[in-house]
Formats: sequence, structure tokens, C-alpha cells
Amino acid sequence: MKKPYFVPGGRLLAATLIALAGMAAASADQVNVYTERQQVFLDDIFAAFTEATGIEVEALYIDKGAVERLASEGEASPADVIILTDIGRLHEVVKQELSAPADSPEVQAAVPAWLRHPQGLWVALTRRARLVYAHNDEQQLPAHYEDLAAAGMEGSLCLRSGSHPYNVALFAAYLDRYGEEKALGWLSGLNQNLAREPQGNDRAQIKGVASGECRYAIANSYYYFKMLNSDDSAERDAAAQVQLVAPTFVDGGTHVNVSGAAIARHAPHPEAALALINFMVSSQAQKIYAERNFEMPVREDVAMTGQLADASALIESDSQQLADIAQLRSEAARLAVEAGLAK
Amino acid sequence: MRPAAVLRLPLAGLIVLAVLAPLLGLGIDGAAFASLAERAPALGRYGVNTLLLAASAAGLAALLGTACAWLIERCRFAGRDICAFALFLPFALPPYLAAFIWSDLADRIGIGFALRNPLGAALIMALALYPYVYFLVRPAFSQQTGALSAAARTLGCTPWQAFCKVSLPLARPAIAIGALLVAMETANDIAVAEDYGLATLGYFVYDSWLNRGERAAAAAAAILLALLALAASWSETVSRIRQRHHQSQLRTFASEKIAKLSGGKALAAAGVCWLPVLLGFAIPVLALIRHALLAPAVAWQRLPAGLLGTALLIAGAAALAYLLAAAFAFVRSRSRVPGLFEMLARSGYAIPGSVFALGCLGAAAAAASILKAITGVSLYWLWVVAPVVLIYALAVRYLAVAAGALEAGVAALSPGLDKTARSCGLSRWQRLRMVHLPLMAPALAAGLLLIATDIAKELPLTLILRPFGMTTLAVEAYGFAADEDLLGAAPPALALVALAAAGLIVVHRHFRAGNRISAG
Repeated sequence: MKKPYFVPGGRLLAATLIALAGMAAASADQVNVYTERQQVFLDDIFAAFTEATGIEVEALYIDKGAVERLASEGEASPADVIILTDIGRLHEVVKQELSAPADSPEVQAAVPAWLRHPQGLWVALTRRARLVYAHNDEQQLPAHYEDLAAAGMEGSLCLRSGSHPYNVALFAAYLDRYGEEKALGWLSGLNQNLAREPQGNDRAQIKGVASGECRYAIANSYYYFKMLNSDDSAERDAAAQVQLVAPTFVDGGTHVNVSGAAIARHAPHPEAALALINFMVSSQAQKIYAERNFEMPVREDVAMTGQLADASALIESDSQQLADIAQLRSEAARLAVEAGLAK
Repeated sequence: MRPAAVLRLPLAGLIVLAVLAPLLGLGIDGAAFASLAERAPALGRYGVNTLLLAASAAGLAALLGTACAWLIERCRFAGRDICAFALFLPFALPPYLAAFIWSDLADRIGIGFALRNPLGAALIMALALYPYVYFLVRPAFSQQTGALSAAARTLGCTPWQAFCKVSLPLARPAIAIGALLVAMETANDIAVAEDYGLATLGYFVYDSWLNRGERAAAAAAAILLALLALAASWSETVSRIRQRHHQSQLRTFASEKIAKLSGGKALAAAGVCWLPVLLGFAIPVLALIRHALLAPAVAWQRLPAGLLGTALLIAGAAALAYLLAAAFAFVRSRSRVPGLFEMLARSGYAIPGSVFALGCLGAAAAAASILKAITGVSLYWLWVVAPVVLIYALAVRYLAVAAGALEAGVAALSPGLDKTARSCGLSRWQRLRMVHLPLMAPALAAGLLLIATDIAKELPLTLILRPFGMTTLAVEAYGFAADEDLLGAAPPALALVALAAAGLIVVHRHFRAGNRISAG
């Protein structure tokens, strides 16, 4: 008689596993995070949160695909909070109806309205400006993004792949402001001025300026600051030869993208989730972000230090609707292909 | 009917379902096919780019892998033993990391543009992946009897002609399987394509799905990519279906002559063999060692956790992959459609890893809801505590490697030998244990090393499907590399290299043991 012997064993195993699962995921003083950000930026913030509230943070670092995992898990998902970079990914969460409102008084007080969803379905945590870099000796600095597409500057511009989300968001911002025809003209101008085929990451563009391959480069500002503060002398030396320029569009405004967070719709710990988001927009956490990753805080009252404060002062505040940029990504990516900036 | 025959049909159905579940889980629908038709011209362009890149990387890798394997097996020159060992090491580095390191080195001297182009990418991929060919081909050369090439020589062939007409065709299955794996991995790469600005189908699928949420367009490109991969796989199998070569295992009668090289020839042979080691391993690893010295402390602190996670995944997924491969071989032996099962085994390689992971998510969700409907219990919590879905996904993903190794092992068996063993009165299991397994050991051990290294450096599946609290060396390295921080990526990357070297030391012994048995 094998069967009666087998069943209690199976039950015992199931009970043990369920108990284990309970310990791992359902503890009350815990918040579970799915994030497409990297661990190095968040560790200090999570540690500070646990110290302040006693709530443990269990985080899963998924470079790309956190949104899709959350969607496929549905109601069964253990995730409470999802933290993403790029407005496009935050928009995807809203589009797939995966988030719940996070519109606490703390969030409303800390984060300007243009940096959060009207119903709080996402909240920006940092701002990331996409700026221009030129050699220290360069006399002719572009005041506007449009200047990079001007005639007579052939062979001067470097940027990473035209289909990379950072570039697509910049193109979408332009498209949103000036419409398809002008956007295509601008993108074609950029393509005409390329010093090399779009390639490399953002740091490679800055290195290209240092080595003389490129006269101007486009890159996110925090990479420049990380290079200036790198433990690698070659990166420091390259960045030291390069200056940062904060252009605006002709009618004002510098292109800014965000990283942000949302509360998962089926969060098992909704209170802890909101507490984490409140903490992440607090002065304490915002200061860590600025110091750790050289991103600009969403709070206006957080003091930034040294180089970041100087750069931030250059950046003209721009409240262009981020949701519009997110929606125009596909169109912008298509135009980039048409203009030859992406393949 | 014998029990084996009764088992075969349901087992075949189960295996096909298990292997295809991730593809089915993508939920590809009519919209994807409509999008495929609509975007045909653009996708055609991507398809041509992808084919060119994959073919050049695979061609280069086949050339490097075969040439090195032949020189190592058939020639003796100074440093040959160390070189035989070192030729595997480039495989320990994930291709994207080698690409980033070379990119960084080129930028330091202002020639990044000369490297970051399709040719540079093909070269980087070939240097990182030729060990697929090298490792599958070496056993094929080492087990070839010398009688055939000796016969060719007596019929008037030059050594080169004998190599082309005899040795090479005999090694062809191993070369083709290795080159196919290189081609599929190249076509599905994302990180190198992004950094080097390439327009491949693999990058297009990833970019449109995960960056812009254009699911139908991504699915359309994924269909095209999978069709190309499966067509290549099928034509490879079918083209050699009538080429069955069997050779005597009695190598003592006619061992292949080993050429002792000296002077210029030895120098040239050493040069050919050391070049891929230098470019694919020594230079990137020297750069990594320099970076590691400057790496932040946190990169070192997380190594033990990464090592533990990596070991767990290797143990679970490699075992499951071989189990699946063995079951595959069992049902395949009666299949009437040539190439069907080979094609199925390789389907895990047919689409980019990140998209394959999304398919696994879909399949797991479907399986969980079916199980919940039957048992009333949700099994989703399993994801939170155990890497169940991840191990399954990795096993299916790398089934092609396990099946390839098994196939290479079976190729080393001749029917005559089996008949002899049978006439000695050995049962099926005795034959397996005493004859088949010892002869297959070198190929199986080589396959195990390939699959373990593959699992250790695997990224998108591990990133997307792992449970809370689990990390691996590859995940740790990528966490820094994605931030364009090569210093932080260096310690876990070096740990990956050390792990592969350790695995190599273990497997190398089996290599020699296998040779001894087949020669005896």
C-alpha cells in the first residue's frame, strides 16, 4: 500500500514550502520591490528606509522586464513597489493598469505636479538631463539643441544608437514641441553632422570628445559626473578635458527624463509601499540620490553639492508633459530611422 | 508492445510541449502576423543584416575552432598542452563584456569607431564563442581513426587533400552544430548590437518590446528570427542525413599520425592557436584585473552570494538539460520526420533571451492558473522562494548544447561495436554502462562544461526569472556594466573566469580518460 504513505508526506512537504514562502514574502514588516534600476544606487536608500521605519526591503533587480514580470504575475505578484528608469517604462505601467495611486500629502508636497501622474499612478524620483559636451578649448558652444543640426557642422556630432531610449525620448520631446515635419528636419540635420555612425554608450561619447573624434556629444549628465569622480584615472582625465553645456530648445527648456516609482496594484503590503515612496521623495533619500548617482532630485529644496549644483543651475526648468513624450516614442523612433540616425 | 514503445508517444508529446511552452507563452497572435506582413520590407532589411552578421561570426568561429582543434589534436609543438587548455577560456567571458572592454580600450586611444561596426562585432562574437566549435570538434578529431586518411594518402592525396576529403567531412556534424550555436547566439545578442550600433532582428525584438511596448512588431520580428534559426537548423540536419560515417574504434591498428612540428611550422601553429586566446581572453582579462584593483568594495562583498546562486543554477539546470536531451534522443530514434527533433531542441536558441524569458513568464502564468483550477491552490509563491521557473527556462534554453553533446557522443559509437557487445551477451544497460557511456564521455564532459559555463554567464533569463534574494556572478557583473561601470563589473567577471577555469581542470581529466578508453 504505497498511496496512504505518500499523501501525508506530500502534505507535509506542501505545508513546509508554504510556511517557507510565508516567511520569505508575506512578513508584515516588509516591502517587496521590483526594479529596473541597479543595486548600487538603491542599497543606501533602502538601508536608510529600514533604519527609519523598521520595514525591511526585499528587492529584485531586473534590468529590463520588471514590468512584464509584474503583469504576468497578476494578482499573485509579491511586488509592492516597482522602480523604473525612463518615462516610457513608467508609462507602460499605467498603460497596462499595473499600478495603484500613490498620492499622499507627502508626495504632493515634495514632487512638482509635472513630475508625477495626475492620479499618482507614477511618481518621479529623480530628474536626468540629456546635455551636450564639448572640449574645454571649444569656442562655439551650442545654445540650443537645434544648433547641433545647423548646416556647416558636418563631421562634428557623436551620439549613441538613435534607437536607444535616452535618444528616443529626446527626439520625442522635440516632436511633441514642433511636430513631425520640423522634427524630421532636425533629425536629418543631426544625421548630416555625425562624426561617426551612432555607437557606444554615453560615456563613449564623452571620451570621443576628449580624444578629438567628436566636437560635440550628447549624453546624460550623471555619466559625466561619474567619469569626473571615477576611480579610473583614464575616465577622470577624459572627463576633465570636456565641458558640459546645457542647451535648451529654441523656445526654452532643457530635455529632462526621469526615474520613478509606482505602487503595484495588487501589492500585498500597500501601506509599507506608500511609506517607501514617501521616504524616497524625502529630503534624506533625495540627497542620497544626488550624491550617489549624480541625478538631480525632484525636490526643489534639496541642496546639491559642487559640480551637480553648478550644472543644475544651468538647466532651464522645463515642465513639458512627460506623458506626451512617452506616447510619442514609437513615432519618434520611426522618424529617427527615416532620418538615418537609427537603422 | 514493449513498455519503452508504450512510453514513447506520451513522452514525445510531453517533451514537445515542455520545449515549446516558452514560445507558446509569448502569446503570438494574428496581430503579430499582420504586423509581419505590414513591416515586411523593413524586417527584411533587419533579416539580411542579421544573417550577414550571424554568418560571418559563425564562419569565423568555425574557422578558428576547427583550425585550433586540428592543430591541437594532430600536431605537437612547444606549449601545445597549455594552449589546448587555454583555448577554452575565452568562453568564460560573456560576449557583451568582452565587447565593452574592447570598446573601452579602443576609446582610450581614440579609435572606437574602427571597432564598433558589423565587422568588429562579428570578430568579437567569434572570439567569444569559437570554443563552442573547438570543444565539440576536438573529440571528433581525437576519435577519428588514422586508417581513412592513410588510405587517402595511398590513393595519392596530399596531407591537405586528405584533411579536406576525409578528416573534415568526418568532423562536419560537430563543426556544424558549433557554428549553428554561434550563429544563433549572435543573432539573438542585444548588448553588443546596442553598443556597436547594429540593426539586427534580435535587437529590434528587444527594443520594440521592452523599450517602446510595441508588442505586435516585436512578435513579428521574433517570428522571423525563429523561422530563420529553425530553417538554418533544419537544413543543417537534413543536408547530412545521408552522410553516415562509421569508423572502426580499433585505433591501435591505425592511430592518426601526430605531426611533430619544429621551426617555422611550430611557430606558425603556436601563433594560430595563441591568437584567439590572446584576443579573446588574455587582453580582456588583463584589463579586468586592472579594473578589479580599482573596484569598489561592494563589488567584492557580493561575490559569495553570486557564486552560490551560480552553483545552484548550474547544478539544477545542467542536470535537467541532460535529462531532457536524453529523453529527446529516446523519442527521436523513432521519429519519421528528419531534423524535426534537432530543430525542436534548438528552438530555445531561436529567439533573444529576454523575449524567451517573457515567453516563460507567460507559460508559467498559464501553468499556474491551470494548476489552480485543478487543485485550488495557487503555486505562484514557488517563484518567490525557489528558482523553479528559472531552472526550467535555462534547461530548455541550453537544451541545444546538451543535445549537441549527446549527438556528438553518439556519433563516436559505431553500430558494429554495439553488435559485438550484444553478441557477448551484454544487456541494454550493461552496454550503456560498459560500452556507450565510456565512449561518449569526452563529448558529454565537453558538453557539460559548455552548458555550465553558458548557465554561469547567462543574463536575461536569470535577471528576469530569478526569485527574491537570489543573485549570480553574471547578474552582479551586469549590475555594474549596465551603468557603464567596468570597474565594479570586474570582480564578478573575474570570478566567472576562475569558475570556468576550475571546471575546465575537472573536465580535462575526463577528456584524456575518454581518449584512453577509445584508444584501448
